[in-house]
Amino acid sequence: MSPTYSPVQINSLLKSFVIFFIIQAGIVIVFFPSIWSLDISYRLLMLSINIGLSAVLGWQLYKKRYRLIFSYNDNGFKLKQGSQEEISHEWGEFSKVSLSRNEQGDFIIRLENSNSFDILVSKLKLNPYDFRTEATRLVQASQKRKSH
Amino acid sequence: MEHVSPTVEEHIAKLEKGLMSGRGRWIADFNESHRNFRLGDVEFDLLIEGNTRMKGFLLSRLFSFLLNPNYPVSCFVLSTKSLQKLDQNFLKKVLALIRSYMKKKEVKWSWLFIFSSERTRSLKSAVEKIDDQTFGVVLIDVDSKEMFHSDSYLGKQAKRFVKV
Repeated sequence: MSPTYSPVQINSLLKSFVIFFIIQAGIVIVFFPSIWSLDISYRLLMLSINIGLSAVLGWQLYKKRYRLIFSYNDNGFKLKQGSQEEISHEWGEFSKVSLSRNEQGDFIIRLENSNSFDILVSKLKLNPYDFRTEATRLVQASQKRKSH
Repeated sequence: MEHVSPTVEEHIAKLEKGLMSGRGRWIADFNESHRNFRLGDVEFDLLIEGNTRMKGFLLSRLFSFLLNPNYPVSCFVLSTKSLQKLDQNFLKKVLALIRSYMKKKEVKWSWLFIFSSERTRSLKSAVEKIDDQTFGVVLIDVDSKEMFHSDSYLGKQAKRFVKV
């Protein structure tokens, strides 16, 4: 399957980083209250360790929970979010393609038939209008192949 | 496949991008767009759906909840694809179809944009006579860049959606 899209979602990555940073900072403040009496160089060292650990753990959380991997070809597409199971569909399973915007302002390509499936194009850093055209072409081509 | 002049197609794309990016926020939040939407035997180039109750963050959401009505709205776009049959009778038929759609989907307000060229000038008076207050109909001549609108508040204000 090609092409494959898996851009880094800065907001989700930052969120993962901040979660671990706050947890570690909280642990230090609660269990080592004497940190405030330490020399500034030690405090800076601890801050650097906190930032480093948060970066490593945040990246792991991002990969497990938020990272999107999307690939498609003329027959269908595959979408995987974090460590969840990969979802795959054929374009021919759908008959309508529409463009939506959710409350966060992210664009979504909605593929509809009896069921609907949303592709989060903003998060995949795809141009929503161009990808809508591409998805419509692929759905129509698939429908034609089916009817022949 | 029928030909749509690039200018008309460009205008439709511009209108869609504008509404989907919040140009219609003075009245509604348009958030769902369908290309080549078929209603009865008429294929609209574009249908954009929205709601008068804006989504937002905390204060703007509360403000919208307290002050704005919760009305689903829709915006239909027709272009020169239908020109050979776009006369007053066709316009009546299109409006009837939109009315039935509004009834079925409980849509309170609708707009109809017709992107056309010189050939539909005869429609001008027909459009200007429409006084249904739940409709805003706008005829846009892309060659002369003139806009004619229906005699309703929605029609008069609809020019804020589009720049020709």
